[in-house]
Amino acid sequence: MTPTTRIPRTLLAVALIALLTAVTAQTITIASPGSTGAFVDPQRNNSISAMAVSEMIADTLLLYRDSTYLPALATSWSFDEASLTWTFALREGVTFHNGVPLTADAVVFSIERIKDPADPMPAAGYLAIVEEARATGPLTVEIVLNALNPDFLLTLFSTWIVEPSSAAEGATPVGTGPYMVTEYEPDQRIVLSRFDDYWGGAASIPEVIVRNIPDTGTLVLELEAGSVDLIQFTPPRDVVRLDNAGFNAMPFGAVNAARVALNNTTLEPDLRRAICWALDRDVLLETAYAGLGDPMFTVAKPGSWAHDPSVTGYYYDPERAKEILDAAGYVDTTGDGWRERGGQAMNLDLQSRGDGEWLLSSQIVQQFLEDVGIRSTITTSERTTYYDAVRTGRYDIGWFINNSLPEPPIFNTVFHSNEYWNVTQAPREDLDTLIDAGRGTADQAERIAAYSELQRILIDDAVECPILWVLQAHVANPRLQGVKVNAQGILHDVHTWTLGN
Amino acid sequence: MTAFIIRRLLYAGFVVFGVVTLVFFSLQLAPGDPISLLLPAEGGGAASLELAAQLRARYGLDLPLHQQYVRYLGRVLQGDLGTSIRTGRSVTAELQRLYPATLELTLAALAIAIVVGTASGVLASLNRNGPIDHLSMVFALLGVSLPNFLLGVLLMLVFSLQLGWLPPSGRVGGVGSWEAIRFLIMPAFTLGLAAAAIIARLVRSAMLDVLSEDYVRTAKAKGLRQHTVVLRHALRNALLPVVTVIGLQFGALLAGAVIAETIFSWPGIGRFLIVSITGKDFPAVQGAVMGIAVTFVLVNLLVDLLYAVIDPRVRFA
Repeated sequence: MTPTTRIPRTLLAVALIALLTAVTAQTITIASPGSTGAFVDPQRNNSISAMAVSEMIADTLLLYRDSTYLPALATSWSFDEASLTWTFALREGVTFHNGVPLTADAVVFSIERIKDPADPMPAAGYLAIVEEARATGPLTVEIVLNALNPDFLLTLFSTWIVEPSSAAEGATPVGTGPYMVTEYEPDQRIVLSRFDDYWGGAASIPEVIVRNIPDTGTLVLELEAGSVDLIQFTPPRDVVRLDNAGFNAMPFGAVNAARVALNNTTLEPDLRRAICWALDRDVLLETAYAGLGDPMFTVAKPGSWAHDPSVTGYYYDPERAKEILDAAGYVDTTGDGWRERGGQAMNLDLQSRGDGEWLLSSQIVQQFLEDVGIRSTITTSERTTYYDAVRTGRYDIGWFINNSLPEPPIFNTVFHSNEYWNVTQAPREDLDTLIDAGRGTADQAERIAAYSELQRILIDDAVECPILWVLQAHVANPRLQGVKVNAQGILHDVHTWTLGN
Repeated sequence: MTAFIIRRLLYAGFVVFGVVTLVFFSLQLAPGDPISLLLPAEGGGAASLELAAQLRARYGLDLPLHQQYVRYLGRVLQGDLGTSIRTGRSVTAELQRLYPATLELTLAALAIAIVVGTASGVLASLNRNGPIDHLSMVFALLGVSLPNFLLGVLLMLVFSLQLGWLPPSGRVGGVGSWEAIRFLIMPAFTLGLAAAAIIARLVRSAMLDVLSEDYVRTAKAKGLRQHTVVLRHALRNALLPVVTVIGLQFGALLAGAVIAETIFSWPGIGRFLIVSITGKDFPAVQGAVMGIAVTFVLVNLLVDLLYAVIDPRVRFA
């Protein structure tokens, strides 16, 4: 080979590499932990990380951003309290990815598809309150409720609108979102390409790859290696480190409550109260959650309208815990450091998920219980088995985290007897009544009164121990700019994100 | 020979039936509710008991156990492995999609195990008690004692994070392309190292036995070159016990794939199985286990047949 032929080839190679770099630079990769990937059917996604995909491929009627409702597929809406009917005017000129224009019929179809008892979608529970959805014009929809819910608009956050003809048996329905699905490997990756006719303006980034990485260590490593641009639900121990290393950590959290769940049938009230006094929330926050969050004293968010400052809740007071235990007859008669009652040894069953901060939190709880003489044994299991144990009452104590909607700013629905995640094992009518009263009226004073009473009962009876308002975080490569995360942690408005150098 | 194969295939049918039945009932005994993964993530007010009941009915989980079992067996006999509760997709389709990835990974790991294991075993035997022998056996010791998950992470730290040579995880299609091989190298090596170590030790001891045989001495006395003696006379005979172990190792590799696929985010049956077990996704677990059982049985049959090819003394009565 002569030098003259070598130079053009070298130039060609350099040009090719430059071209490839330019092409890859137009693609971003978002990764999520866990083994189950998102569905490309937007209505099927039930986890916050998977809902980011739904947000990209479909739209909802409206958006809830910074405590305000903003128009999306609906441009205006009104409520008639007498007939419990919401009326939505839909946006004109919106088309689905298959070219079909948005109509009121598509909205009705989408709601009915979610509610279908033969194959209900995850949002069906939120729409249980919907009596009927009907099209009253080509671009007008009425949704009739069977009960009042002042936060109904918020519960529409996962009612993604899909095109009816695309949702035939076995087919994947299409939406109106800024990205279209071009490749789908279940539980592995989804490739999304820009939808040029998006009503909100074509996206700046032409292609988004959404990957699923089961191992959290690998997830973080991928971000550091530069092969992934954004990781969702970063392990708390890595969030601060990555932020210090120049990555962009985006904490979020609305009503994300970490609690010590207590079996109300196996633990009597005094023992439950003692447990709640024995736990140092600051240590749990710093050790297990890298300081991401705030101590939680009652079930309502401090400073919010639902919070009753007169209900002070539990804080770390081991001496008070010991006094309560002594008075209730839990004393160490054998001198082995563990308390007994009536000659009966006590060893509480502390159930825990075996992963990450769940297990660490359980171990810290165990240590604090030991400090006041309460013996416990930790049993770890994987997620589904753990949930089954606490749900069916095969436990005494369990570390539990639930995320709730940002409104109302009080963690309350899991105490309802009709709730799948109610793990107290002692359904109570008084709690049901207060929860129903809080969500069943638009009268703010009545709501405040109901939630105040609810907070008081939950604390007085130590139904469970509120521990932390947890902040979670997504972390992005700084080249990714304008990333938006809502209070629940759902990535949104991806079409407005941009790529820097 | 044909009768032997038919008989073995019939046995295989019984084995698979036994495995499916065992898995079905052991999964039912284990605690856990698959519906918990279908409800809105961990609470928030939308996970009502009514919705949970509707979902149970949708997947037939509200039926008595014996009815679920009979229904499942009936479907399997018609070639339908049911619908995954977690993904809502046909289990047969899922397995068809994932099987090639697992097969690719397992075969690559097996190839690494055979090549690396045989080579280091032969070299060790030819340099008995020498530095190469010691080095080879240290490698074997490391190979069997280093857990998959640790080796995988170490490789990732070095080759992805520090050197940036290989992608940390994932898989791209296109078997044989350089890009596909780059994704395959680390998971295959992680998976294959333990098997390579076992094969190395076995080849070493088998070679040492064979090298002291009269026919090898005769071959050397005839003036044949070293590599002819080693490869044609010694290794061929030394490989007989190795073939059996390779068959068994294939099963171990399939089991090991569960971990390697999880660490490296490799979209195969192993990872699918783990997700399905933790989610108590009964149809998916049964389908995946059945797929693995059938593979294991067929590979063992293949190994038995291979025996006859390698060793003419073996005949199937």
